[in-house]
Amino acid sequence: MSRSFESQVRGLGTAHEGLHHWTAQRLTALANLPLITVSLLLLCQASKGGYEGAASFIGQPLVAAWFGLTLIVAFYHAALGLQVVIEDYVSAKGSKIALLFLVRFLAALCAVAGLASLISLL
Amino acid sequence: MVEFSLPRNSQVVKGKEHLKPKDAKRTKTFKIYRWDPDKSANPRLDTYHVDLDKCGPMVLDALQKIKTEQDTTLTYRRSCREGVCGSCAMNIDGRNTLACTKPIEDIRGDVKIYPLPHMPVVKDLVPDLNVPYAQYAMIEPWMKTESRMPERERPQTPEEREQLDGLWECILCFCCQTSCPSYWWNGDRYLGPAVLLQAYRWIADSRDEATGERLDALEDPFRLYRCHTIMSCTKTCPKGLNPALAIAEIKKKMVERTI
Repeated sequence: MSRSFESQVRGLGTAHEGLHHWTAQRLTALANLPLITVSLLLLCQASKGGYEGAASFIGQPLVAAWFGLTLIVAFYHAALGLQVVIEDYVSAKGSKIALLFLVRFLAALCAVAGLASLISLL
Repeated sequence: MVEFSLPRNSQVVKGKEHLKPKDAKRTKTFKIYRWDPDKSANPRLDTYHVDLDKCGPMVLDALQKIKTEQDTTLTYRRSCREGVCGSCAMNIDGRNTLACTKPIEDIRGDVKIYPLPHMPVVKDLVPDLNVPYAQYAMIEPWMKTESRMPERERPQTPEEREQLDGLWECILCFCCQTSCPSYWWNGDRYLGPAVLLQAYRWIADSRDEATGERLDALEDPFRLYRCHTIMSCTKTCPKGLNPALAIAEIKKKMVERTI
């Protein structure tokens, strides 16, 4: 390799980012604790009255809002976490960019599909 | 870069077994990684038997004895023999540590010795540390000031000086650096625990006037945020320091300057 060690470690310089991702990952992890716990309890409650009962229970504005918020935060957290895994383990530039795009697209798709389902119950 | 399989010709094979010392009552077996860059052979694990009654208490004493009496070609770094210089850092009994402060009697069974993990090997137990040295130079490990040079030294209160405890003691042996899986995978871009602890040593110094500049140089998804708090660094540090805590403090400073 012709590049000096100093040149190698300096690379393209600092990206001046990473803090937002790091704090968002931790804040969404914290938010997920109450969001997912209460969502599971709400699902238990919803499952008691068959399909019709569940649909009308989840269709209540506050319950639907809670599930909607959980979907957004959970999928955002999942995308942030998977981004770290990809950055850690995939070094080929093309694959890395493709996977990062795919993860974000799939997370957004799942979240929007979930929100659309909730809206259909309102 | 992640490597799930060994590169070609790097499989460690069984090496030469040296004869047991005659009339020895208490011997210990040492299995030591050997690799010679001048030969095209695979690395091997040579076996040596050391008479503990005629050997000092530390692993470095045994290595010295082996090199002097059994095999002069065995290559390793060493200097101070008292845990100050960091030269004899190697992987002993599965953990990165200093050969000079690791008692032989702490190791059950055979003593297996390898070079520091995941670094290019120069020869036998000598790793190539050019990359971590360049990373260390990059964080500019000296006091940087803007204010006028005082006539005497720059004063510090005892409390301010205490902030450097647990940081200044680092001897740059790179045991922590080479124990970190994140550094194994992304050592070309992640600065690693030893270098980040040194970076924090200057961030935490009340006399330094370049804190913002130092934080700017670290704010990067790879340079700093590859640390996932795995804590191998803290577990392995032969000086009992806590690089993971130092990295967490840098992350806290990054948050602090945004709120």
